[in-house]
Amino acid sequence: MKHAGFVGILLFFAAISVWSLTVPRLTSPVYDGAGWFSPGEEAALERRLTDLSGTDGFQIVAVTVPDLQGVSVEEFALETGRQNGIGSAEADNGIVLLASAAEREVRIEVGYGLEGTVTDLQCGRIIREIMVPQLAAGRYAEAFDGAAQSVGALVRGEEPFPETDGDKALYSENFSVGIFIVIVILFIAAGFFNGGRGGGRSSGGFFSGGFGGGSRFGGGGRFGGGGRFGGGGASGRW
Amino acid sequence: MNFRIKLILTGLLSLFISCGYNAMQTQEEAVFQAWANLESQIQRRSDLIPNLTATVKGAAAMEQETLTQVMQARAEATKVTLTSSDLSNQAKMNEYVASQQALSSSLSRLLVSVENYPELKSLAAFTDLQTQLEGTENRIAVARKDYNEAVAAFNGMIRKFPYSLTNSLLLHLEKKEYFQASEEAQTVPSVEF
Repeated sequence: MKHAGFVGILLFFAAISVWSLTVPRLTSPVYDGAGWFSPGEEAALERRLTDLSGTDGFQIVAVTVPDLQGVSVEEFALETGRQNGIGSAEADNGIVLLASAAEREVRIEVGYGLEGTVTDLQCGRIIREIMVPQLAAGRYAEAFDGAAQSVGALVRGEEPFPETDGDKALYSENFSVGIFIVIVILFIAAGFFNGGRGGGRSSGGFFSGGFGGGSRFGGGGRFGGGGRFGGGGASGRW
Repeated sequence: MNFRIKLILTGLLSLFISCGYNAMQTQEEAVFQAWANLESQIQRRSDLIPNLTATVKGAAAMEQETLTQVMQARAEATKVTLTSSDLSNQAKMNEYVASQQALSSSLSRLLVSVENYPELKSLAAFTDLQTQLEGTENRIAVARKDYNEAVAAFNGMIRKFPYSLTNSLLLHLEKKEYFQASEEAQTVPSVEF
């Protein structure tokens, strides 16, 4: 019993460490917590992101925050995507563009369903070639707008960058990508199965509702469609 | 069939449902799926390493020793495999985690040492590989967190009454081991651009 109590305390702290992170609750595709955009820029960016979002539930959001509350930019972006359920629950096709003012860190977080279309490599290049130069120059709206356009082109199946030798290295791992896709499909099936049980343990865990069923958070008024994330994308600093 | 028997059968059935016979197995399945995802991400990293070492080899002739260490750690890590029934085996899990950690730290050492080769860092092929490697490390971190959460949910469940009773009488499911990485191995090898 003593042992069980100890484990209980550990789990409690684990839960606290997850919940102490409050990510923005999105109500529109733009959340400007850092206060970088003028009203005009915000409206234009919002139009851009809304136009890109397709009928298949594809969602792309731009989030700026004053700081990362002590976690890594990867974790913050992941939780933003998961807790808001960006993308559709069927296709897991959400994208989160996130930048933090204090740490000067930026990340493109890619939903499960888009990991094959918007690869880490391409995200890395969008960050290095588009976002970082613009962010460093203080042109915040341009950074997000440019990244959104490039990601949008990728999602539509267009090539936003000329091909280089690096792409060939990527293609040689087609086999593992195939395995990965199979796993993703298994996961979608698992999420569907668990969702049907409607249990909803509140740990926010992978299988336990918080994420496949993040939809239970906000009810009808929620912005996201229940898309899931597994850590795809890339990060950078400016 | 008289009313009494029906009543007893209904009672037994509802007992069967509330005792968590199915719920525990679903939860165990969740652990297995989380493990499968973690394993596939680990495999993905392993697949990237030959490309990385080949690229570094061409440009950074001085780093032969670091490269050999990475290749050795990868070979060692490939030898240690876990099946889903091994997830309850602490010794095997520790061995697996240790072999993956050895690979992680040898990779970080390599990525730090290539800092001394500006010509390598300027190669598009290298920065791309590095991005892929960072992406994989991040996915491993996410998959590990999800696996540990699934294990916590499962282990917590089989310890609780009445599940503990059902488990000891019928299912005999074993508690699963966490994938615990040391602090050192948790830091993603990252290099400033």
